Amino acid sequence: MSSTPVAPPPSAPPPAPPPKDTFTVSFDGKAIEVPKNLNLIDAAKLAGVDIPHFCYHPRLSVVGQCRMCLVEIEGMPKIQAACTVPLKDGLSVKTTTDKVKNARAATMEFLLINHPLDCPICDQAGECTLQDNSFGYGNQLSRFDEAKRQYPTFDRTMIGPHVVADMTRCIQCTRCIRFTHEIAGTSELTFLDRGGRTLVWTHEGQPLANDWSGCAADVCPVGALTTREFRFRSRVWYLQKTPSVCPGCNVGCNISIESRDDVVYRFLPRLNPTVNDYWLCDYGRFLSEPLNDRDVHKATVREGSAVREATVPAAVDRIAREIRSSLEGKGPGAVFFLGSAHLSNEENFLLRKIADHVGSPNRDAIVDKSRPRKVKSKTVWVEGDDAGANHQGAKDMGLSPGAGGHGLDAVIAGKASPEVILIADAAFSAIADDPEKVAALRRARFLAVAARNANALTRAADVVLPAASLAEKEGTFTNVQGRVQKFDRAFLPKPPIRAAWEHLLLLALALGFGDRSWTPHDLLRQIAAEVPDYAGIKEEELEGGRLLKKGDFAWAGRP
Amino acid sequence: MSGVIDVSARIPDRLTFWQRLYLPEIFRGMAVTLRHLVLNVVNPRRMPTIQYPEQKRNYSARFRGKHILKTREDGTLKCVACYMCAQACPAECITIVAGEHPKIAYEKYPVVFDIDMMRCVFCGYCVDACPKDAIWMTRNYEMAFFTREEAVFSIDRLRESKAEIDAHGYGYRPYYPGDGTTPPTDASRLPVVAGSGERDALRQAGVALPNRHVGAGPLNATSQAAKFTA
Repeated sequence: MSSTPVAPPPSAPPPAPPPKDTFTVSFDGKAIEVPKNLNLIDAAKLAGVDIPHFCYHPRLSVVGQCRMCLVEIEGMPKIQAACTVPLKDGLSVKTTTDKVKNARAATMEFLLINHPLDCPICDQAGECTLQDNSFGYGNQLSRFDEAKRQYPTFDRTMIGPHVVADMTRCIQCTRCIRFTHEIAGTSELTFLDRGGRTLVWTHEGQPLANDWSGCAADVCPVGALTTREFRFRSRVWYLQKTPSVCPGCNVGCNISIESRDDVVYRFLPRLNPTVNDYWLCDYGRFLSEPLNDRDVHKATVREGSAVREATVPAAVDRIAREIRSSLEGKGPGAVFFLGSAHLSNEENFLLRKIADHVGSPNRDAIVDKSRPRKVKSKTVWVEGDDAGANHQGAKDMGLSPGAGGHGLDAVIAGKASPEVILIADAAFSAIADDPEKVAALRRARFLAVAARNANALTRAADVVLPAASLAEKEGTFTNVQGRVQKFDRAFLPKPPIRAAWEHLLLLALALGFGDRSWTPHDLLRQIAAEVPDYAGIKEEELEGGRLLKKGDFAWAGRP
Repeated sequence: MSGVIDVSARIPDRLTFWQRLYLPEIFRGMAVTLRHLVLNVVNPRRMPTIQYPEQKRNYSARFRGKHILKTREDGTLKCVACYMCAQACPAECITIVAGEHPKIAYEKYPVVFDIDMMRCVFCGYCVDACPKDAIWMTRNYEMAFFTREEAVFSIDRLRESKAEIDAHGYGYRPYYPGDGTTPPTDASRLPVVAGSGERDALRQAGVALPNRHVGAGPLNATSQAAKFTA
């Protein structure tokens, strides 16, 4: 039997290759595969080519307003604004030709004609796109020697509760207008006048007062919009950036804590497309100032009617003694443990471990409800209404009444009367400043709290431990989406102030378990091993699969 | 081994008797002292010493002594608290806290401007860095103090005063009379050109337009936390 090769029928076309979902685009001769829906400027960034721009922002509509992103494209006779050119297969972009360089320099020259160059007094100096692009692509000298355009009565004006506008610095990129229109949806800002007198302002008499007005200052590439709270407080290049999570509510916006010399100066949003994207609400943004407040600097112990200072280990020993004596007298049900939505997962976990060790089922973590807050992620609005950032995590760690145990409500209502109450965060709720409810808690023989600021609870307590602020500790929060997010420590607390997990670890050691060498990292590993929902969680994966390096991440001003 | 000095080779193993005695060397030294004494008594003008503090040397016009903060014609400091001097300072001796000036043309001014003279190395970089011609140095080198606190000079001791300049004279500064250097432009003295057209003209003509100044009260750079409402 002879086999004859089967020839394909001559008329059949070759099988079509599967449709690609990428384009091949070349930048300065370097070809790269990019997703089809990308903007040319972002595609260039993937190729490692920087196309300078002012008005383009990845989350705002494209307007081609600033003319800074001019590039040469093969097959097109004139230079094009890169942000407005749709991607197509085989596009060849040139960004280093003389034509492009001259066009950029000319654009910079036009922009700087009316820019006041008051960098010494401008808060944006140091993170100003105009400075960077002028340095990178502009001319060194100006040929312009007439008087610059001024906007008397339109300079240094509060146009809202947080935003200061100075129209002499504006380069009319319309990012802020598009932000209020497309993201905030409130459309407060608009162009007034025409031609050379164009200025960005609010509609007559109306304030720029949406919940995200600080983001308008963020997206401003120059110093035309700045925030009142940060005004003149520090030059930006002094600030150390620490990746963190906003403590304001359970949305858990990613922020960068900007600090210097152990003082927090501001929060900036940190890019996370799944939570807060480039944005941050004003409430969270301006929580940076209260972070520096502190009344409780030392541990205090009440002896009889006198309150005296003590070392932290001595104060913790006192707590351990009281817990042990009440365990011997009345059994484990006589001790009550209260976690907090302001504490990290690690701290709440350690508190639960202590409760387990003691055998007490009386444990709780409550949270106040706040005004609903929301922030726009890349795709959807993320909403939250807890007044603390980590109620979900506190519940996950097991801080709810066990079998036969009581919650905080029962204690306050008088249905349960524990002998010893340990509150790991004195600011856990508005209850802590309510004299009646504090009096109900005070019915216990012994009341111990860790606190940063004094309130009715700390004044009533027998032992007060000085607790670190968010900037002074590290850990993880679990947000409303169930996303576990890590926050870093910006600076060390001043001794004898310690993070709540250190207080709790000292207490655990005094009660006879734990290891002096435990850190939040070890506690997170224990959480991964012991808490079902958190099984296998790894620290390295908590930030979208990669650890962010300090000071190296995007924010709204630098997309 | 050329170029390397063998130090040990220069040390004689043993001193001679006369060297161990030391007396010949002492007498030689005394002879030098005596020679100068006699020459100075015979011819006092050859002496290099002066009777400080009654007598003082005349230092160069570029001498880098105590700093002064220059003032505008209305007496306010030219300084706009831009932190450029603090940034340039290699000794990190300058501390600035910025505030909001009520006059729009000035806008920003130093609430605190401290120079720690104990840390200062008198390099003059602050003068070079200043974009506003606001900090100069004088020829004043008399800044003795008894405590560390006194060594921190604040605005009241740094502000330019006629008495100090009359006594000591200007030292290191960005420009000098007659050498071709020119003072930088003071932007606050440039004319303000109205550019906002009709709107401003209407206001000046007394037409009632809705108030655009929606913020309450003057701005300041201090803590705004209390103004925040959740």
